[in-house]
Amino acid sequence: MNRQGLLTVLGVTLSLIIAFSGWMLTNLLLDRQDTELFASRGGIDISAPAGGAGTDPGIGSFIAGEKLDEEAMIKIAEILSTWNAEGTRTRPHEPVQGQLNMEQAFAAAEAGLSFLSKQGVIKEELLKGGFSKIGASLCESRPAGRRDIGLPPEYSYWSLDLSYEKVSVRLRMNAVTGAIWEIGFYPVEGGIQLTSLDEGEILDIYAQYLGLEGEDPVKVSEGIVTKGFLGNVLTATAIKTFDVARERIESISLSLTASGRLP
Amino acid sequence: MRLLAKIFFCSILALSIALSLSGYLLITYSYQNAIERERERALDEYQYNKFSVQATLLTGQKGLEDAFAPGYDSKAALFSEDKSLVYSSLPDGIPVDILDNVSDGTIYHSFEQVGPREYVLVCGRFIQSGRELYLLVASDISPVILQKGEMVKSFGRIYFIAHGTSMVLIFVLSTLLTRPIKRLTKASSLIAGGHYHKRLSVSGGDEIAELSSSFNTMAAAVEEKIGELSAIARQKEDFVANFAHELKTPLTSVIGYADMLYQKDLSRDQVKSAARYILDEGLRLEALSFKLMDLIVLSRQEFILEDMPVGELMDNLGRSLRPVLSGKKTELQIKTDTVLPYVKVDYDLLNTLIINLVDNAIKAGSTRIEISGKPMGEMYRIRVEDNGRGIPADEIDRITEAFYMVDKSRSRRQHGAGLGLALAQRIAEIHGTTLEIASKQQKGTSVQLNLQCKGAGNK
Repeated sequence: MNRQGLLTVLGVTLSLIIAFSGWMLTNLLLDRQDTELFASRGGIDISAPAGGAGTDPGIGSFIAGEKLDEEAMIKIAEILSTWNAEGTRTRPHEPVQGQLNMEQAFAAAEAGLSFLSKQGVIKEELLKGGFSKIGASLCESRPAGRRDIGLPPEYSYWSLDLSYEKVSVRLRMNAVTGAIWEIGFYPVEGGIQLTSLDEGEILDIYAQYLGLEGEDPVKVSEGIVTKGFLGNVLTATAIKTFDVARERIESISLSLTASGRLP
Repeated sequence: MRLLAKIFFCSILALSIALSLSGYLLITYSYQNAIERERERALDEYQYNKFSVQATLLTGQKGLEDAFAPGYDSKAALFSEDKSLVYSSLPDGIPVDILDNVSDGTIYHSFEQVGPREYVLVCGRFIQSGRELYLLVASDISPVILQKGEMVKSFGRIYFIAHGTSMVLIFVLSTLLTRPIKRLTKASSLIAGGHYHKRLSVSGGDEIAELSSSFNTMAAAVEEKIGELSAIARQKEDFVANFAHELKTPLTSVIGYADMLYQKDLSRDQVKSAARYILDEGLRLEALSFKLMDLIVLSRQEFILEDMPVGELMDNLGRSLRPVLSGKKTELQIKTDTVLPYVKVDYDLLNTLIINLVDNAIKAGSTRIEISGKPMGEMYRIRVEDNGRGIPADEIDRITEAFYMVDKSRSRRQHGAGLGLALAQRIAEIHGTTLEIASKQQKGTSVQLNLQCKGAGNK
């Protein structure tokens, strides 16, 4: 074989060696990632501990039945629009300065439930004896993959599950004010009458609890009653579901939602 | 190394780098995203479990073993203030010494490999209902590690399939790309071997096509040059052969007659006759040597052309031709146009040229010779026409070659050496022109040349 032929064979052989070397190098680098990963340690700052409702986030301190002004209603609508927004991820977190801690959240929930039961939204005797099983988490809805975005404290909410003897209660309340913006009552067994009020009356009481007043008309449709406030910037909804065959109420849901049409 | 191998080598090198880099980046990006997602999930899991434990402690209505967040397949452990175990659902082998790293206000996390499985460990300390507790949550990330392994395997398959396919394709394409170059090399070898007519087919408009086109141009130039050189070499050979022949013929006669004079006792008439032959051949040799000298001088010397009025040129030519024509039955006419510009000439050379043409016309038996001049734009045309016996059409092209004679015996008889027209052609070339010869047998010959001219004046 002449020199040219020898060099050609050498070049082709070198090409094959390079191809294999590329593969080996890639594997080596990828393996190193695992080594580095399992050697890594890290700490995450969980910020300041909860300090109670001591700050003024712009929506004021919540007092059941106290009328909300227009500015506060708009702020509530802004917050509510982030709770169930598309493309967000619910993330639990530690209470930060200005937010209720867990004990305060339960206290606020009990106060709200007390107000509603006294007005007949739920029969008072169903909540007697206190709750037994509970679940609680403080969450915020932040854009997916954006852990770096810092949301103000009033955008978080406490999600609580309370189990009474005959009824379960699920609610979401603002993490700063303790105002219940979403609540559901679910009887633990059949034959339990939750309330003697109709949907319209329940809705009026819920609106009174939140301090909402408005001239907008009430809309009624198959057990769902809605009423808009501030030109439908906020909408309160009351839903009663019925078991038609057994003629009993199965659940009551009350919620405050934002239409997304901010003035 | 052959070009094909170089292309192959470079392509595989580039492909390996590109594939390895893209594969590495792709897998790394995907893997790091997955790991980050798992870390986030583990942190969320820790937080939900912590809330659940806190809520349980707050009510105090159920055991801590039931406290862990529902919905998560939690592997978690609770430790008291002194880090003694309160409750654990952690798999065996999970290192709990990471509790030592926990500090206030910080959640600590690490990645651990325990047996065949991999975990993200998240731990932190909190106080609830007066109790200080440590919570450690282990989140299994083995599926992510497994998925990465599968990705690496898949990438390996793609990598080698891509290389295998590419190697075949690169080899085929390299062969196709280098084929024109091989053809070029082959053609070069053929041309080097003397096949000057070899050309390449040119197709497309790429660099190879340009190279092929340039090669063809070069080959044509080489062929033309080689043809010219061959013609010059042949002319030189012919010149030497003709010269030897022209030298030998009179010398043979001279030697023969001289020997006869030396060897034999000859009568007075015989001596005169022999001497006459020797004189004739001697004159011919002299004429031959003079003309050869002229040719050599013309080939080597630089001449400066000067502006000369055409009227003066023609008058001088007429005067210098009178001795040539004296005693001959040949009529000479010189005609010029009314417009008489200046022409660029070396008068002595041009005079020699015209004398040679007139001499040839006389030798061709002409009874009338006409020399005419006429301006033709920026040139001035001088034409010499005769009514001699003319030149055969197939010999006109060779008539200006040295020693070429149409009728050799007649030419020799007239002491011709076949150098007159060669000399005239050389002089024409010095004047930046060439002899244009037209002839018809038994009708006459016309020779014309165009001289550079400028300006005009009247006679």
